[in-house]
Amino acid sequence: MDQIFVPEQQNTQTQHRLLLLGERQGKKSPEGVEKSLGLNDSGSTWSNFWRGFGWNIADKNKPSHNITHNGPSKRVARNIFSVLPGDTQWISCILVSRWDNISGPRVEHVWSGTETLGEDNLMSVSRQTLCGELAREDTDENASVESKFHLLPEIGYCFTSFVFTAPYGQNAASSRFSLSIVVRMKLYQKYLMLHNIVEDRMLQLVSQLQTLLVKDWSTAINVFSVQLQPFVTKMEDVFHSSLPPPLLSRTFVHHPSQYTPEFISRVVTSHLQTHGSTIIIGSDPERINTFIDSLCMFNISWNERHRSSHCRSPSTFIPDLAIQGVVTTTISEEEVIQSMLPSTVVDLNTFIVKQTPPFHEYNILRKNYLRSQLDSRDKSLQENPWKAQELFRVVKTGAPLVDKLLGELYGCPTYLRTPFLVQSVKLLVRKAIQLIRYVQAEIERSHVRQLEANTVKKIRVHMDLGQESDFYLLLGIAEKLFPGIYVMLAGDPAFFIELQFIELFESF
Amino acid sequence: MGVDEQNYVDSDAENASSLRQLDQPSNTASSEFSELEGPIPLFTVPEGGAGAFNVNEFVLRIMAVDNQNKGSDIVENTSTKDMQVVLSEHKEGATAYVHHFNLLDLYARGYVRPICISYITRDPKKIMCHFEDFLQSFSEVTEIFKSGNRQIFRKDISLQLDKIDKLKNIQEVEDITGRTPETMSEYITDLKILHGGMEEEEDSIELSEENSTEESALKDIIVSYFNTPGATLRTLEQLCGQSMYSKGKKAIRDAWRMLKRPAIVLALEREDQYFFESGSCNLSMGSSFLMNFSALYDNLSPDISKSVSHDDMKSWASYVTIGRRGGQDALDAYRRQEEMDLRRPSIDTSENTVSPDPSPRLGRRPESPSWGRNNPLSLSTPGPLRDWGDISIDSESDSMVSAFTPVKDHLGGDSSPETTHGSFKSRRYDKSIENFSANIWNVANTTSGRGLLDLRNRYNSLFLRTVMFSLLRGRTVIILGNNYNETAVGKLVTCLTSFIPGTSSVTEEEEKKKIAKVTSKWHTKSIKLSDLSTLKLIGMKRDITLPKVVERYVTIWDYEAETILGPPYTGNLLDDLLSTKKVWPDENTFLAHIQCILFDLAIKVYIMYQSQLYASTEKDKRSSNEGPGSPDRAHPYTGRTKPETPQQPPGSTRKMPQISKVFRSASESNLLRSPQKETSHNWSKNIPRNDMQIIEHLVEIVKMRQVSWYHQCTGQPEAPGVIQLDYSPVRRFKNSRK
Repeated sequence: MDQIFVPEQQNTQTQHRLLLLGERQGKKSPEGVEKSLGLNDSGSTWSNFWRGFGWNIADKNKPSHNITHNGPSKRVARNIFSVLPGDTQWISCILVSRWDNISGPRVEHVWSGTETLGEDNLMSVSRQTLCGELAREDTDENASVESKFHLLPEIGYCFTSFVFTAPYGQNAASSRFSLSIVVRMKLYQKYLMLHNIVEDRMLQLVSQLQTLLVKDWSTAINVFSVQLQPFVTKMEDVFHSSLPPPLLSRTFVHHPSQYTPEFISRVVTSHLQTHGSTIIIGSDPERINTFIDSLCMFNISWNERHRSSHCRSPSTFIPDLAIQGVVTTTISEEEVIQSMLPSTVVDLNTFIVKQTPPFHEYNILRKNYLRSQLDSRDKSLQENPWKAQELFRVVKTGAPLVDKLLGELYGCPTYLRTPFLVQSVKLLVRKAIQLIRYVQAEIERSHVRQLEANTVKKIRVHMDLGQESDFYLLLGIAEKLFPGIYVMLAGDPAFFIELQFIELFESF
Repeated sequence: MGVDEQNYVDSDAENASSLRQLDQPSNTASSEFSELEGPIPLFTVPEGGAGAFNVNEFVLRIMAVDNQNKGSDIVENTSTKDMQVVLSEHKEGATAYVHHFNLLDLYARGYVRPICISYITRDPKKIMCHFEDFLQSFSEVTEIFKSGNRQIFRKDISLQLDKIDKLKNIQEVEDITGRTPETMSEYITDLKILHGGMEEEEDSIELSEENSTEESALKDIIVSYFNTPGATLRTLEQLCGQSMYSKGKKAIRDAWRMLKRPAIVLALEREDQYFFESGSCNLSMGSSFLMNFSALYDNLSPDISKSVSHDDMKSWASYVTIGRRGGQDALDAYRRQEEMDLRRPSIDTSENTVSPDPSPRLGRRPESPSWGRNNPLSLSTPGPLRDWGDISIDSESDSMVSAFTPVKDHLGGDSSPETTHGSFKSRRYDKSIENFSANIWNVANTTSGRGLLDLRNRYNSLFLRTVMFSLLRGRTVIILGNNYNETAVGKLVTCLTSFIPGTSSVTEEEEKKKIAKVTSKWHTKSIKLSDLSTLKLIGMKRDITLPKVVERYVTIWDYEAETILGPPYTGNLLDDLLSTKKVWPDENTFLAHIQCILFDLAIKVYIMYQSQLYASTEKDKRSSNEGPGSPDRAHPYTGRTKPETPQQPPGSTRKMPQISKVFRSASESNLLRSPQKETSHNWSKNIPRNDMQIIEHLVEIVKMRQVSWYHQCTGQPEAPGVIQLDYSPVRRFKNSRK
């Protein structure tokens, strides 16, 4: 259970932090901050009313500076602040807001991370996320979750919010809520790199919060506080992961003798097939790190270095990193399935390369896992009963495309290998683009959502993709560039299962 | 997928308005939320493009929040920074980027009219993946509107103050309006403060002389100060001025055109940017960027000291040989053709010796005029990007290096805000050289390459191989046709442009000139030998007689007779390109296939280029070890002191380590073979002679570009063009396919 601030104790601290904030922004005088905290009560009722709807009505009879700081004093109660569980260095705060039919947007709870935001800023966030959501048609509890990303240079923050509907209050009336994560403006570029991951995790949190609110709205926030901890801890790891400049001369690109070419070929093949996400396990951290540096050179995008990590201490698995090292002998299926993308697991002790099923099948498995996790939380089970049937498949051979690449690479003089590799990976990307274009042309021609087996066969023949491993390799690259191509080519497994059921019932 | 729908709305709310766009199928709408009527769409781009999308509801949603500054004084309130929002609209299946900004209006409440521009797309990931592109494009657009608006606003205030001065008795206003003297004086103070704030900016606006009488001045002030019911708000056009408004609208359309392209094209363009911006040594084919040959990659391997830096470019100046074709042979040919007025062959250009001063860092141009277009720093007025303090925009920062810089360094702490270099850089959209994917997704500025699939089906392989071989090795191709076939020949020229190798130039203007010179769709004058230095593909009227001296060095395609006279091709590089065994569903797929093959070729060229560079620097090092008395040291950069250099074809006797292995097929290269073991190898045996001619020519193109770049950087005159005199035996082929 997290610590709840006692209002009196927190007051001075908050003010102190707010003063700092005001100074940094160079705008608000301490008096201004006091006013913004609601200590000045000379506001006009009408302007407060309109502000509730997000409109700042400046009364022309008065200079505007007399009005703008007269914020509503009771919108943010003092007992809603608590400390964000888990240690964070980048999340300013996380907050839950709710649209109140009488007073407009309200801040329900704030978990302060690196700082405590002032009331004005918190209200800004609430207003920005919830205003405009009123009177929308789809406000029942099954309504889709709307996402928003705001960049507010004016207050120096950016935030991502998810607007959802859940029951609230004694009569369990449907209310519009928003869950927002607030980050300092200066971190927004790094944030953008991780937006996909944050979005995925936040959607999970929204599901959890919705379930809690349905169950018991009065205790929901307290229980939710506990559930925030894994999110914060894991996102912290992802946020700070990044690779230092590699010592290229030690990589297997320049010293292949450390491993057999056949092993390297298997690793690179599987790495590209699983969209560039790989976990290296073993017992020697230094060896693992050098291997990571080497494998990184086969990435199709430079940004993935910012989502990769060497072995860390303590060595734990972090979902959704592109390449990471873990000092361990085995890694569990339940950990790996948390990532959004399929993964390759390379064991440097045994030289076994394993990979999860292809993207379209993996997605179904992951959805089942997340559903099961939510259910087990709902039923207060200690463990998630989910079990994957053979999540990992062993990669036995490398793809011919990779064999060719490596053959040419090691034929190059050492000083040319890095640029040659960079260009060769770009050539693979171009081939993947050709595949995308081919598939698009066939889809447009036949007006279907997914191609028939004969068409796929034809594509593979004309693109010289006879080997399955080559085909999946290019698909792995193509899916990153053009999301959805996997389903177009390989079909939607969920759809197949449905068909099987239909066939089963029809046979009786 | 595929089609892009854009929808663009502009609205002006009580204090706010918005513009937005919708992606897939194409349209754009604009709306206004007025103080009096609430949100109303202003316009969409393209016109009428909103389609079934409920613009009114959307505008209401995005304008619901007030974006005004709650600052403590009037100046702060009127200088709100832009705000950006990305939101999803599940009901419509759309995602929108919304850019809020404020315009100043003396007649509006609080003196501001918040406007917003939005871009709406069906692709849920596109905006967040390319957020910075959206941010930058729309910041540029709003900056145009704002700069026009500032001028108008300042003019308004000056006029207003002028009128107030003319009033003899301020009491008159108060009497009519029933306001107190205090409020009136506050109004005047506001105006003066705002006027003072504006004066600090540009002072270039000429105030129009208006002979306002005291009576009309009084009326104006009453109207502007107290919004009388029924009065209409000024339009966006009136707020920004006619010229800036049209400029802004054009910028919106440009931004829309740029951003509506598929996300994959935007993504590939971004990746290419790392390589493209180095400027000096890009190799392109037609209008598609192929590869950057600069030594940027050396930054990837700082610990491998053997890599060749481009500071060694000086040594290339002595290398301006243009292989065996442009060298001594060319000189001889010129001597035989004394009656013609010829330009000096390029070998002499090496006598314009490059000064041995340390060259500027090549591969990175400090100031490129064409960058200004997209560089936020070039905007004359303070924009939102610069106001953010936290973000430094640095177009000079080296992305390749930063790719290897740990992110923790980028993040810094609160104490070091100026650390986020690298990713937020201005993107360059050169109109003449584009990413290859633009062509594949039909969003390119040119139509080069269109019709290639028809061409492949219409002509037989032998025929086309001759054409492409000539183009790729730099031998001019002339297509002769009758007058009535002018259009068809013109189309052929455009289509085959995608096989003309070239180098992207530094400035757009220069590039335009160059493109114009490389091809000629319909030539009606005779051509001279000197024209061959630039013109590579010419459509020509049949009546024009070619001089004998030209005829011998060009490949001639007779359009009507369907014959071609040119050097036959015996390599295997073009086999896959023209093979009819492969079936392509449409032209785009075929173009993608061609791009793969050309890129594969470019890799070979790169290897060749780098090994020559490596060999030459190794040689320089050796010669420098021979001591200062060596004659090579006395004139290290002139061809004369190194007579062997220009005369020898590249690679024939120079050290060419291990390269051959790269050219081997995969079956030949054995993975288990020790990579360090090097064998001496006659590389020319592995590659067919014709293919090697193509590779050599491409290497020469890159080298020439670098030398001219070096001349530019050192302020020396540009080297004259090179005429390639190709003595290959020619054969006549007839198209057998009907």
